[in-house]
Amino acid sequence: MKKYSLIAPGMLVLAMAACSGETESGSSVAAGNLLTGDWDEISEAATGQEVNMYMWGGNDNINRYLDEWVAPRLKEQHGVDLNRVPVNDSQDIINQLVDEKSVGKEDGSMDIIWINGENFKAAKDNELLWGDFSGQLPNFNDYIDQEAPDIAADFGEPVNGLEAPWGKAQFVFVHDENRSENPPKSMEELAQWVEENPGQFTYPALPDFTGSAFIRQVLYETTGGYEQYQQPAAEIEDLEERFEPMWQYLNSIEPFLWREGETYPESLAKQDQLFASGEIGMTMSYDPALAASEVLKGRFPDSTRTFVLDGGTLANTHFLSIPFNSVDKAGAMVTINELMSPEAQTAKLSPENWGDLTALDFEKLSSEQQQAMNDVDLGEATLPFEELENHQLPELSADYIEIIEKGWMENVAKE
Amino acid sequence: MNKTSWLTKIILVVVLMLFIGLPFLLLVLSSISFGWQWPNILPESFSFRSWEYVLTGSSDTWRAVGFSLLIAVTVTAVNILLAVPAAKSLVRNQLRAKWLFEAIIFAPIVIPPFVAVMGIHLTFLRLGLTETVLGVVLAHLSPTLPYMVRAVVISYNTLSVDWEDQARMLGAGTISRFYHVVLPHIMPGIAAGASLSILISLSQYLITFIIGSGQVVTLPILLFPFISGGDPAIASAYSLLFAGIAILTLLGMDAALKKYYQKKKTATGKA
Amino acid sequence: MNDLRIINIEKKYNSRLPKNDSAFTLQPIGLTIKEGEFFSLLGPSGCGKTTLLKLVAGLIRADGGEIRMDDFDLTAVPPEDRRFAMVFQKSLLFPHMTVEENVAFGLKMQKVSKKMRLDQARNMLEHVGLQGFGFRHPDELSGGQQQRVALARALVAHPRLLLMDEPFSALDPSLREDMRELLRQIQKEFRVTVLFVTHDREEAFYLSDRIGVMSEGELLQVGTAQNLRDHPDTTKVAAFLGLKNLIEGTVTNGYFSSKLEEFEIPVPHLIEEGSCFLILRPEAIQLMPEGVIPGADAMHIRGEIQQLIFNHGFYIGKLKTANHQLECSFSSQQAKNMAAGQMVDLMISLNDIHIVKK
Repeated sequence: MKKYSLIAPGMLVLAMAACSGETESGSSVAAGNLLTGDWDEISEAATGQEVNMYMWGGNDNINRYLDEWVAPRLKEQHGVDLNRVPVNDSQDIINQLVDEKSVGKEDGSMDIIWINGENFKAAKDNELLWGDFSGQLPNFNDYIDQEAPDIAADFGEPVNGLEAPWGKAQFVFVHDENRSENPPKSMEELAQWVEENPGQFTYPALPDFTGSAFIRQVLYETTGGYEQYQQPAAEIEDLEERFEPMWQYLNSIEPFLWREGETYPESLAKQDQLFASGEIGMTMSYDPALAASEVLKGRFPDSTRTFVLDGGTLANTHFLSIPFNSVDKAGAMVTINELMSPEAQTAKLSPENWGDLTALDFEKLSSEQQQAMNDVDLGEATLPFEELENHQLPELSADYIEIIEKGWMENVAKE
Repeated sequence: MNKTSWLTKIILVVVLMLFIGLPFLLLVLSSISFGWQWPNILPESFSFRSWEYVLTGSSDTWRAVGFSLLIAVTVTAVNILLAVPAAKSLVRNQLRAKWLFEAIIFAPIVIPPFVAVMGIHLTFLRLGLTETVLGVVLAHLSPTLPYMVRAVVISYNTLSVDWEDQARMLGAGTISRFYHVVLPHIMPGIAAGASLSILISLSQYLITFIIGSGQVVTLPILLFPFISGGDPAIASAYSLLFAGIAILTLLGMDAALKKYYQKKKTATGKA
Repeated sequence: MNDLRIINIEKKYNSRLPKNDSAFTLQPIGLTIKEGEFFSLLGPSGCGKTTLLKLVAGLIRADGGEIRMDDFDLTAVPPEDRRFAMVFQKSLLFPHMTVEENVAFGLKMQKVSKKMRLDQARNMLEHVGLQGFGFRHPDELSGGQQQRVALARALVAHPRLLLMDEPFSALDPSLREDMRELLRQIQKEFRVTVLFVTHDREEAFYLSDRIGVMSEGELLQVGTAQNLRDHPDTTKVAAFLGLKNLIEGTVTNGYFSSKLEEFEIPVPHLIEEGSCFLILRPEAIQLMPEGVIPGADAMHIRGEIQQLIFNHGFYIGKLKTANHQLECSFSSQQAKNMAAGQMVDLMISLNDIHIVKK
């Protein structure tokens, strides 16, 4: 029995070794050239490859955009099969790549991963990403403003071509027009609104991503702007004192929050549920078009609107990257390039598909392409393109986020 | 007597409806609701968006269902092959360090799966077992085997050695003894263990994702992002589908078990 | 001849539990059981008789010695290949099979065709008085019926040896007697060799051609019922056979004298000198007729009747002599004229007394 049970996996190992040997010899020749070679060659090498794209899979619109809009076009135009792999938490992907790296697995199944912020930093620090590839992509060179701070850095971490921008997100507040006609335009006004509408406002408990973004928003407005935080947190000596007004603000609104601030929704999903059911009057999102798509799905009321603060709101870019051990790197490059094309980005902008802001530089598009983007009906709930663009603030780097999340536990949640 | 039994029956049915029926009904409503504002008891209108997404289109649901079942059934079959001899030696042999063996077998119930799966992942990576159904099946053994062994051990405990000795004295060799005496007796235990094994295997997310590295897509792999991502309609639809598959599988097993016992009975009756 | 020969078989159990320091040992035992013989192992529980039975069956591996049938060494043959059968204390009918299937099980294991084996099973059921019960399931039968099925199941394949481990001990007393009768009949009819284990001496006496008395892992004495009763080798055997009136004493110069010298009688010279016991069988003790003086061939006993107990048509009298408590039996006729507290004179023929070594 023991002997037999060992033979089965043993044979499998042999079979796998045989397979991997084959694929390596097929692609390794090209792999070296991919970062320097000609795009036509890369394109040719990509033909017939199957690209596994690992990305969060909890939104049917996004899933459908990739499966039904992107994949058929890729197959038709480039002969590349796109296989979307649903992921629950990007952290799992990073953990897996760390394990694969530690045992030296060279034939990984991930070809494209969708990451940004902390996950990018973790991947970069652990050398889990392949290399400086984005400069090879024609669409990156043609349509991206490579100097823009939110393209060159990802939550303060220099990108170095390891990942290519796919889209942008911006923090917006979501409210019901029928219940609050004049939404607040600053944190001060928000505090007033909260006092006037007790029980109608709350934010997701940290370390929820969106809840954390809301606190950063408060930080910018109550402590005098983002500029002072552009250096590493460790270099600011009086950081605690500087943060003090932020905690005061949060504690001052607490008694007027949902359930008197005794508890906070455990996730944005929970908070959205409260908003959808009408129990609270305001929610928030780091995706400016999400509200519109929720209206389309019938979850949020038709009178749902979004707004940004006069002083601007946080914005960040999300990226696509290629892991170090991707087998089909050429295919991955072609796919990423295709996802950055004006057509794909325009389709992505539509709330029916996804409603994600474009990563492209509007100025670099041709007039027809600009027209096509402007023609996209973002839905009444989404703010106009331009208004969003004009109210963007850069993100904080990960070291700040950690300090803030810890501080919130001590200064707000505990009291 | 009739009155009280009727009363208890009615109360039982009501309680069952409340605790089992109602959550199901809520899931159904949630999966087809379109605009469900707070004080309203029922949604304003309905939409089959979530079901359309789950059952058709590119969601690959049926493939995932197929993989889920294939893995659950294989895991359970392997579990039976491992648990029966394991239970036998745990019950029959006077092992010196019995508690140690039991501790090892039952450890996966106590140790958080996340801790175990990280170690398994590294080992399986070296063996080339990641990204394969075989690897996922092997990894699923760890959270399921303890329940299987437990169930079979309980059955074995009630089977006195005398039964096997009796069969022996009637000339039954090892295989005959197992087939004619042991198996019929421990069958209920095997069935109970198998039900647990199938359910637990079907509901594994983390182990499947990490060991399968996304290349083995089961139903939970599709379902989990929707639960944490906050699309209650699709999450509800998937959950209902999941519950349906689980119930169907258990019913199928029950039917197979009945058939097994029927075969035993008719074999006697006909003669 | 298919005689069963047990040659110096032995078994040691090392006590696994630290508390229980008395490790059990079965002393080497040699025994031959003739073909067609009904042989019983009689002894108190824990004496090793079941162990010996299982050693013969092969269910326990012996530490030494041989089991032979005819001249074949069976010691290394697994139990399922010995062509023995066994009936346990519990009927152990397979619950998922009908009565008929249970009985046919042994033949099925021998690959006998279905029709043949079921025919034979029905035939055997008839022999044990269960005609027409074939289609029932074991749980539909009474305890006695279940044990009959177990007997039929054991016999159907014509075993060379039938081993029985206290098969009737779980039954009601009246049922037990029926079963004894049935077993006796069937054993005679099929001429099957039986090795029977019991702690019930009546059962052993009733059924057996020969009996082996066991105690503490030792086979003390083998013989017919009569033989054992009349001439027990040791007090242990006597005690276990239920012999009453054991009087401790010594033999010197052809005379036995009890400890307190109450009794003094001549004994045959072949009896060794030393401490020993005098055994007075209650039924051999006679009431001394009026005016008769006991001769030299009888022993005189005088004592006070303490109690008269009615038992199966006769009376047990508890007698107190100068130094001993004795039991004797009286007919109803004799007992009519007696009462507790009365002094009586009794006698016993010297031919009826038996002396065993201590």
